[in-house]
Amino acid sequence: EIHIKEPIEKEVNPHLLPGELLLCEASTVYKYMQEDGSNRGTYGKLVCTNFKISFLDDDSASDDNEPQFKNKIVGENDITLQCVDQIYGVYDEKKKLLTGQLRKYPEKLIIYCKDLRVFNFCLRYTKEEEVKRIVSGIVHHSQTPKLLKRLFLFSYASAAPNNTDGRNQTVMFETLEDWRDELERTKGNVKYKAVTTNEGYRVSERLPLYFVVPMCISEESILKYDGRGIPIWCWSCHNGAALLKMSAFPKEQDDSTSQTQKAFLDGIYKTISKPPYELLKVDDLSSSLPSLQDIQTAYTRFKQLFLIDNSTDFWATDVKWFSLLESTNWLEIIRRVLKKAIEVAECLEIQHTNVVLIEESATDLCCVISSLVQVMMDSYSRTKSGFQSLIQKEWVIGGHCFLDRCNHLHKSEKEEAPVFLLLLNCVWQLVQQYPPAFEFTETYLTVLSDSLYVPIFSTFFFNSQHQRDTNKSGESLKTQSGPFRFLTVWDWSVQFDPKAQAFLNNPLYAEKPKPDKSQRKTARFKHQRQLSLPLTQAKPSTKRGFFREETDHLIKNILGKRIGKFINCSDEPPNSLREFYESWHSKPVDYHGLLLPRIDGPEIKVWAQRYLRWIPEAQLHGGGTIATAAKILDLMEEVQSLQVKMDEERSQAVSGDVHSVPMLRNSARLSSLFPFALLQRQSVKPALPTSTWKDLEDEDDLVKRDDEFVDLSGDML
Amino acid sequence: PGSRGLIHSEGEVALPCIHKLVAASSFSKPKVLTAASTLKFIPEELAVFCRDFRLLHFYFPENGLAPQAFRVANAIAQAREAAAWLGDTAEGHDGWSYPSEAPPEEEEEEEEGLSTTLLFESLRDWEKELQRLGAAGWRVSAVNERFDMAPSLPQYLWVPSGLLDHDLKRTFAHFQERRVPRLCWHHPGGGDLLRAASFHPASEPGSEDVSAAPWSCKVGAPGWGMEKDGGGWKGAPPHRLVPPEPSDRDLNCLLASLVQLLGDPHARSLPGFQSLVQREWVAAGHPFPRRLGLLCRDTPREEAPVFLLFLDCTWQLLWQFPADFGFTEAFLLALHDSSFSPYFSTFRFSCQRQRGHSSMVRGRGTQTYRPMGGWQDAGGHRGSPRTCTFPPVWAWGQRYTRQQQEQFQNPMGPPTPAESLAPGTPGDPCPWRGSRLVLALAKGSLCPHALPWWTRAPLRPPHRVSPSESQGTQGGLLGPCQPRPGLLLPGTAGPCIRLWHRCYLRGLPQEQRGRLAPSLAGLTEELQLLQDRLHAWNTQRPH
Repeated sequence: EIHIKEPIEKEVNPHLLPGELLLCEASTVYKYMQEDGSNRGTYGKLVCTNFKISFLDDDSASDDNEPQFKNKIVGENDITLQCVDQIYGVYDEKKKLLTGQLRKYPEKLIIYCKDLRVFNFCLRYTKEEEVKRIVSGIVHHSQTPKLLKRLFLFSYASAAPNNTDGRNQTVMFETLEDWRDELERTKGNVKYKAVTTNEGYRVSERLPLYFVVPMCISEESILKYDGRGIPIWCWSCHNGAALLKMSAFPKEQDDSTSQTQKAFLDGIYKTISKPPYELLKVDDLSSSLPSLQDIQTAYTRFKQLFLIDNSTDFWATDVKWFSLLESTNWLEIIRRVLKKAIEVAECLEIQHTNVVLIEESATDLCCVISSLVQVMMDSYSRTKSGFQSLIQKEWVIGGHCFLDRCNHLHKSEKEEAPVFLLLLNCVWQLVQQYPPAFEFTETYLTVLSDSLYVPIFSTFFFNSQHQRDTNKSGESLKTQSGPFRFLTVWDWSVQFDPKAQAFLNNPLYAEKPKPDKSQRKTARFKHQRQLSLPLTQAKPSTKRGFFREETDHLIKNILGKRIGKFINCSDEPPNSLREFYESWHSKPVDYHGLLLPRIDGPEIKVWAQRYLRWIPEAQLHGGGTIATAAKILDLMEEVQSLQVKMDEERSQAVSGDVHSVPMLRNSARLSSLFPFALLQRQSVKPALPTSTWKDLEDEDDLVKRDDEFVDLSGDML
Repeated sequence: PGSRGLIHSEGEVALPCIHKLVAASSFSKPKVLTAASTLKFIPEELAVFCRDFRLLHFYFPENGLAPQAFRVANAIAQAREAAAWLGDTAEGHDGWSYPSEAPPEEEEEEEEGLSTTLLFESLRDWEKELQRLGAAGWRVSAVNERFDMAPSLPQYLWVPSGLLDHDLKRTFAHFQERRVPRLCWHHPGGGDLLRAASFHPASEPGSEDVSAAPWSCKVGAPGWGMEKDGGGWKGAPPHRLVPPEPSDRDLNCLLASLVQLLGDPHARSLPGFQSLVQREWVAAGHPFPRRLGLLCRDTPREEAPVFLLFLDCTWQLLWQFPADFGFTEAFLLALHDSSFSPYFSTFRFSCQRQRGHSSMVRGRGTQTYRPMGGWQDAGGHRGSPRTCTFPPVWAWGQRYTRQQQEQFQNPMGPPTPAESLAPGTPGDPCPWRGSRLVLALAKGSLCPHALPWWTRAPLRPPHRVSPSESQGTQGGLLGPCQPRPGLLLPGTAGPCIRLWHRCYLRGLPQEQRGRLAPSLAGLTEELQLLQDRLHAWNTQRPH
């Protein structure tokens, strides 16, 4: 049933990176364009290297319609080994998960990727030994446990000419200086100090080389429990209140040990609650947020909704889409995390209390919450370099176990949890709720999430600064080139050329107004942009706080539930959090000030760009947000050229902070999946209704009709 | 400024807009108030649930006002009941009269939207629109001018040119409510969209009369259009039939107008949309009062938010294709709000006949025929003091400020709205050219017309070609597989359907804020400002 087109024997060579080695290959592999039963696709060669699995299209050599947005390292048909999520083989129409040793080789290979792509390869026309080699090669290299040193990162670092300029605005937090600058920037230097106690990793291998603690903490107490029980500074609020994190003591069986630990903690709390320090609030995240296990379970279910291997499945599950989405619990987890971040922000901002986040190792949910709080409260974290510095500070140097959490080495699935993705999902909620407040776009977040699986950057491939430092020196036997020089993911030029990088910048970012008012009145105008609907009252009503309560009832009423006693509302304990949330939302948004996400149910959305980008069924031709974005870019361009003109008129050579605007003009109707829809694949809802209409139809009728479709197709072609 | 037109503040609600009235006190259970029920306690709180999803919540502190609280609560309940009129027969209703001392027509306010909106109350409108559609082979028939053929249909109908009024008259009896098949829309490619009620149970399918119905008439040269447009519309029926929904007054309105929204860029402009609603809902006889539940409570079964469903569908399209619409969400919301405020001829009546009838009875007291002028003609009859004419909902100027109306316009909408449809490009030869394929929509899918009285063997439907199949492999972003510009193919997959927040969560104040934050309106404004400045600067400078 496959239309066999004689494969053209043509030598196509994979594009290899420095240090990349071809491990095995198979030719005459048929890649389905889309598993919709139509069997359309292309022949080509499937190769596996120590970096990626790659499909080389026989016709690809003459491909001249370059997409506007292209990754230079990972192409459309490339899957890095770390990006492979699961591999299935199809044996006689049955799908089987492939792991480890194989006894039988499948006719079809389905590769599910962590960036949610799905590849379908047919091996029926491939020579048997080639099938054996390629299948076992792919399974072995992408699914079996690996040594750290076997990561492509190291081969690349030793082979690649290192000529990155390294001049990056991102603060890496590798030096004492960086920490001191950060203290100064946030004016935390009065009460907090950067310490060198961990030099040589004397305190702990889990802690960064340098970190910041309250002034009054002695070196002794830091050393006492390997840094446990010590509040470590994350960030200081403008009013002096600080956000701290602390790794908790493990639960002790022994009573006396736990007694001394408790005494130690009490002592610490006492010293840092005394003036000049603010009051202290301790928040144990392990009890107030879902566990890593829950997060992992929810995400596993959630991503399954998007790993669609054929169109029929898509439409079959589509009928239950909303309930399936609900049952994954992923959006609810996002909401809880955002809510927690609002809580912390309220303590810092309104109650002027220091907040200590506690977690077993202080490197998972602590990172999520502290990063989110900073994104919400510190407009610097909403710039690109600020956000990158934040990720460096809290995650990379802060000691988030990227290797274990992403399970890059396939060591233990138990450790796997999408904690960093959770943060990106939460930040995305903010980005889509307040686009002008962010210098970066959702595309930036999407490619950042993809970069988690590209092992040429060291950023996401170590568990701690210690692990990175010890492996960097090349102390292992045969390195002759001295210390490795790893690339950082923040050097976006490695993956994207300047034209593509423009998609990462938000053209509508409302930059911080410059103090020089006389020059640019328009700038001010821009930042006060605020649209209220004609149907809303412009002035906030005095009863706003109350109103919310009422709407809750209204919604309950819509759902057909009984309304509770109205009288009860006033009996509730004064909820300062809700008050904070509501009073903030009743005021116009200051894009450079505090930003609170809206966390009402309908406000938490699916990050469509990341999750739906490969699904043609979800594509809208000429629609989606990109339709607006394209229009906005056109307008921006015009505004900018006018601004330039005006500046010229005044003959003031103002070096314009003009973002380069991606040119979208020539493409009149873009796909909503842009810039990720590389091919305009289309999908048609199956002819047979899959929804509830099914039962209305006469079965026989359907069969007959289907037959008609089939035999007519003959006439068509 | 009043944002809800006649309702001037957030604290006001039109009586018919009240959905439910609940009184509560600390000593008893909350009680739903109706005119019939008597309040047995002194309420401490009163909650007014509005149909537009607002909730007004009043609290009466115990400082001697208690008896008044009691009275107010009962009075509201009574007044609300009185506000609902008894039935939707033209003669029956009373209790509502527009304050005639203060004529609403503010002539000085030019109604831009209104002047370009076709109300389909006059022959001219029907002819003008037919011409715009370029539907050769169809004509306007005035056979129902006196509403004697089909009371619920409009006065004018689009029927095949070849069908004489004499023959047409005989077909009416065969359809439920005498709603005969008639043209809704003509696709530039040649396909026609028709609507009709289903057959009357007593109709004899084989009869001569029926075969005279529009679809069995040779119409023009049916071409090949839909198919080329991207495949969403399943084959290329030269004719397509929306019915048989038994009544042709509910879902047919919905479908007919949605199809046009997808296929006709004109329908996506503001005046075009208003004309569309006017033709497919208002003139076509959608029973608004019954469906919106504006009548007395004795007909709860008839309440069904068909029109609101249409507004939601339109919003989904607007959300999916923000650059293809000439109007905004604000406009849809205004329309949504207005549907609960029965001061408009648009939503007060169930059909054109009633609309005209009521104004006639009250206005002149004569039974002589006069052209349906409705509100437009009202100016001419101002002499009679008892004129009860309601403006159509499209007279936005009476209720919305100019500024608010500006928000109805989508600044990023299509650049040139309302250009007439170009006739279909002569394209691929059609395998069915000359055939008269008729598909009917039944039970959710299109199937070849299989009515028993069909004289010829029904043609097989065209194969549902997957677009990618028919259009070669890939063609880049601007490849040949682009659907015809102007045709929208909405995503119907789960992730593409969203909750219309601004509508359903209107009660939440934060829902209203900054939702369009990277506002195009703001940008456009800024652009204007810059241009003005540049201009001012240039003129200032001595040359």
